[in-house]
Amino acid sequence: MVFSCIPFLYFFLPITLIVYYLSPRKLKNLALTVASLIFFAWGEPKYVFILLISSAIDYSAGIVLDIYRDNKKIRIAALLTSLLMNLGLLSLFKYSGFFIDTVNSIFGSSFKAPGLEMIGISFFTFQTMSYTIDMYMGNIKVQKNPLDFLCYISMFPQIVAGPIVRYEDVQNDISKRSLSLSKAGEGVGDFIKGLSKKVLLANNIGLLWDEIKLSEISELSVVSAWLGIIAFSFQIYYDFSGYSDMAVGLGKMLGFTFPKNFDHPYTSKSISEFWRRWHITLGTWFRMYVYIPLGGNRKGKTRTIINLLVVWSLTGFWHGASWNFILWGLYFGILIILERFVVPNVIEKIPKLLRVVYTYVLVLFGWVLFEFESLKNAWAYFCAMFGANRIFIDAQSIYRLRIYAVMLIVCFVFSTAAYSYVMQRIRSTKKLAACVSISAPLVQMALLIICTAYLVNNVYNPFLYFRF
Amino acid sequence: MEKIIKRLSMLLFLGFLLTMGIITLVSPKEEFSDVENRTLAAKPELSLESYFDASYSKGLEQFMCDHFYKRSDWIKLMTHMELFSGKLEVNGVYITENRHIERLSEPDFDVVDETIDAINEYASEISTPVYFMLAPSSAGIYADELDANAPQYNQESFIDYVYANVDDNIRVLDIFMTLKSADEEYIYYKNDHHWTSLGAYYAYYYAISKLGFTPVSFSQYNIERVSSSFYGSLYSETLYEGFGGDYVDIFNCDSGIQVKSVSVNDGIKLKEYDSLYFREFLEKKDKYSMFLGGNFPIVDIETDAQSGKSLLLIKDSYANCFVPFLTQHYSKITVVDMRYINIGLENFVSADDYSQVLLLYNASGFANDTDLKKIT
Repeated sequence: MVFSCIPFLYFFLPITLIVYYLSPRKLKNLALTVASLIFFAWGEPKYVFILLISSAIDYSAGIVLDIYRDNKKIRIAALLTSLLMNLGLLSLFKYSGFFIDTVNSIFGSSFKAPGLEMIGISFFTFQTMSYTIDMYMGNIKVQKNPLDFLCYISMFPQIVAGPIVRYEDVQNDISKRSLSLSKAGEGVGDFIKGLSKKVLLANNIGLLWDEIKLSEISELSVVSAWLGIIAFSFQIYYDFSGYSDMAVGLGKMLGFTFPKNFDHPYTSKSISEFWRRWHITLGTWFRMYVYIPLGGNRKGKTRTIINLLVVWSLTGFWHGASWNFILWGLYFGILIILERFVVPNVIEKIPKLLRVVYTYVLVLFGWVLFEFESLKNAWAYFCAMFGANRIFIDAQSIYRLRIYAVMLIVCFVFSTAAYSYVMQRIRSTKKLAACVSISAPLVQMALLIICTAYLVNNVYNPFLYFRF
Repeated sequence: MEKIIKRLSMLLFLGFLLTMGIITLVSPKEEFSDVENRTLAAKPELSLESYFDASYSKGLEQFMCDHFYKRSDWIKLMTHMELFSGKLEVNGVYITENRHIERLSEPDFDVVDETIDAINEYASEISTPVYFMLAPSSAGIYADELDANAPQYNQESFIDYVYANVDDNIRVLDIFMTLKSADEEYIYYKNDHHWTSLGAYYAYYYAISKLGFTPVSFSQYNIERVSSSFYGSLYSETLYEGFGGDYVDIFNCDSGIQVKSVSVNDGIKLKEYDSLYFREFLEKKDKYSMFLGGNFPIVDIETDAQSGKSLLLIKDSYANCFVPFLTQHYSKITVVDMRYINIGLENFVSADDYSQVLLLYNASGFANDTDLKKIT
C-alpha cells in the first residue's frame, strides 16, 4: 500500500490510529506491528514471510552479538550472517536481473532472471543492517523483545520509501514513547504537507516529464528538453520528500520521532552541500557504515578519493539495478572530489546565487543520467538540451510552458527557503503568528480535500521507488 | 493556544477520515455511473489466490475510489483545480470559453484507407447513386477557439483527405463551409459530441438539393424545445458544468409530410413505432437518444410522401437528428448502423431496392471507425 491512495487514507489510517490509541500501553507495539504487516501485505502478501524470516535472523544475530561480547570469532560470524542474508535478499530481489544480464552480455549466455520485485526491500534491509552493525560496534543496546524488534523493522510509516531510520534513532521510542494529541496534531501538519507535495505537485509536474520523456528525443526543442528535466527534478524532489514528510508525520501521530530526510536541497551552494540536504538518512547510512569503516579521510588523499568513489558508486547502485545509476553515483563522487581537492578555493569566491545555479544545473545533468537507462539516450537528451536538434522553441513547448506555468512557479517557490523565511517573519509578529496558527487546521483540511479529489479520480499516481 | 490548535488539527483530521470512510462503506453502491457514463468497478472476490497474487487488494483499491462517497463532486472539484492551475483540458477534452471540444489525435491512416477502399468498392458494385457526407464535429468547426499552440489534429484537412480519396462516382456533400459560416449559431452541443438539430438542419439544407429535392424552409418548422438540461458525452469526461445544460430541440413540420411507421430491428426482434422521437430519453442522462431511440442495426421508416423515392442511409449517430429532415422527401428510408451489423450488409438490404444511398458519418468517429468496411 502507499500513503497516497484512498484505501490507506480513509480506511487503513483512521482504523489503525484508533485501534492503536485505544490499545493499552503494553499492547501498542503489537497493534502497530499487526497494522504494519497488513500494510506491507497489501500489495505483496507472499513477501511478508521474507520480512519475518529476515527479522528473525537479524534479531538472533543481535542476541548472539550481545551474549558473546568477548568472542571475536562468533561476533564476526553473527555480523556476517546478518549482512550476507540482507545483501543476499537485496541481490535476489533487486539485483539478480542486473547481474544475470551482465553475465549474459559478457559470456553471451542466456540465463533467465527470476524477475522478483519487493517494494521497500532497499529500505528495510538497510535498517536492519544498521542494527547488526551498530550492535557489532557496540554503539547500541540489544533488543531482547522480538516483538519490539519486529515493530521497528516493519513499522509502516517508513517501510516502503524511507526515511532510513537507524535503530539508534528510535531505540528509546520503541520501548517507551510519549504520545500526545498535540504532537499528533503536529504530525497531521507534516503528513498533509507531504501528501500535498506528492499528490498536487509531484504527480502534476510529473505528467509534463512523462510526456517529454516519451516523445522522440531527436525532435525535442531546447526549451522542451530543459523544461522536461526541470519538471523531473521537481517531480522526484516533491515525490520523495513528500513521502518522507508523510512518514515523519505518521511517526509523530504514533509517538515516534523520525530523522529529517530533505532540507531544501535545490538551494545548495555546492554538490557536497546538495548531498547533505538530499535523502539525508541514506547519506548518513553510507557515511556511517561504509565510508568511515573504509577509513574515511583519515588514511591520506589517495585512499580518501578511492573511498569516496566506492561510496558514491554504491550510492548510485542503491538507486537502481542498472549501469546508469552507478554512473550517476560516480558522477556525483567525481564532482565532490573535484570540489574538495581541485577547486575548493575557487568555489568560495563565486557569488552565492551563481553557486546555487551551478549546483542545480549539475544536479539536472545528473537527473538526465538517472532517468535514461541507455547511455545513448541520455547523451541524445543532453545534446537536445544544447540545441543539437536545431529547434530552440516550438508550438509544443510554448503550449507546455503555458499550461504548466503556474505549477512550475509553485514548485520553484516551495523548493526555495522562501516559505520558511516568510513563516519565520510572521512568527516574529504576535498578531500575525496567531492568525497563521489559527488558520493552520483550515488550510490543512482544504489541502486534504483537494488531494482527495485527485486521489478519488485515480489519475496519474506513480510509485517512483519500485527500483530503489 | 498553539497546543489547542494542534489538538484541533488531529481531531479534525481523524474525524474527517473516519466519517468519510464510514459513509463510503455504508452508502448504497451503484453499478453504473450515469454522469461519467461508465461501469464502476465491482467488489473483488476474496479468495486465497486473489489475495496472494494481490489482485484482490488492487481490485479493492479501484472499488473504493469508484464508490467513494459523492465521487462525482470530487471529480468536479478536481476539474476546477486543473483549470485553476492553468490546464486547458481535462481527460482529453478541452474546455474553452464557450464549449467542450474533444482533443483529436492523428488517426491511423492504414485504418482510414481501408475504410475508404471499402466505400469505393461498395459504390462500384452497385448501380444506385452513392452520396457521402462527412460531418465535421465541433472540434473541426471551432478549432480556432483553442489555444493556438494546443495540440489538436486538423479535422478540416482530414475531411479534405477523405473526400479526395473517394472515387468520382461517389458524390460528396461537403458541408464544412456551410456549418462554419453558421458558427455563431447554436449548431453544436456544448457538452456533447453531436450536432444540434439546427446544425443538422443546415447540413440538410445544403445536402438535400444535391440529392434532387427542394429544401423545406426554416419558417415552415415549429421548433419545440424539449430539454434545456442536456449534459452529454463530453461533459461525462470533465463533469464541468460551467456552460449550463444544453438545449434539445425538435423540428416539427406540422403542415408537411408525416411519418407513418418506424420499425426498429434491434438485432433480436422487430418493433413498430409511430414516431422518430423517443421522449422517454428526455428523463434520462443521454437525451440525444431521444432521436430514433439511439442506435440500432436497422430502422425502416415509412412516410406518407408521394415522391416514391427511397433512401438507404448508412450512418453513425450524427444521422439520428438528421433523419427527421429527410422524411419530408422520401417515402421510405432504411437506416443502417454498421457498428451493429457483423455480417455483410447484403444479407439484410440490397442497395438496388433504393433510389439513393447516403453515407453519413461524423469526421471524428469516421477517423477511428473499423466497422464501415464491412459494407462490402
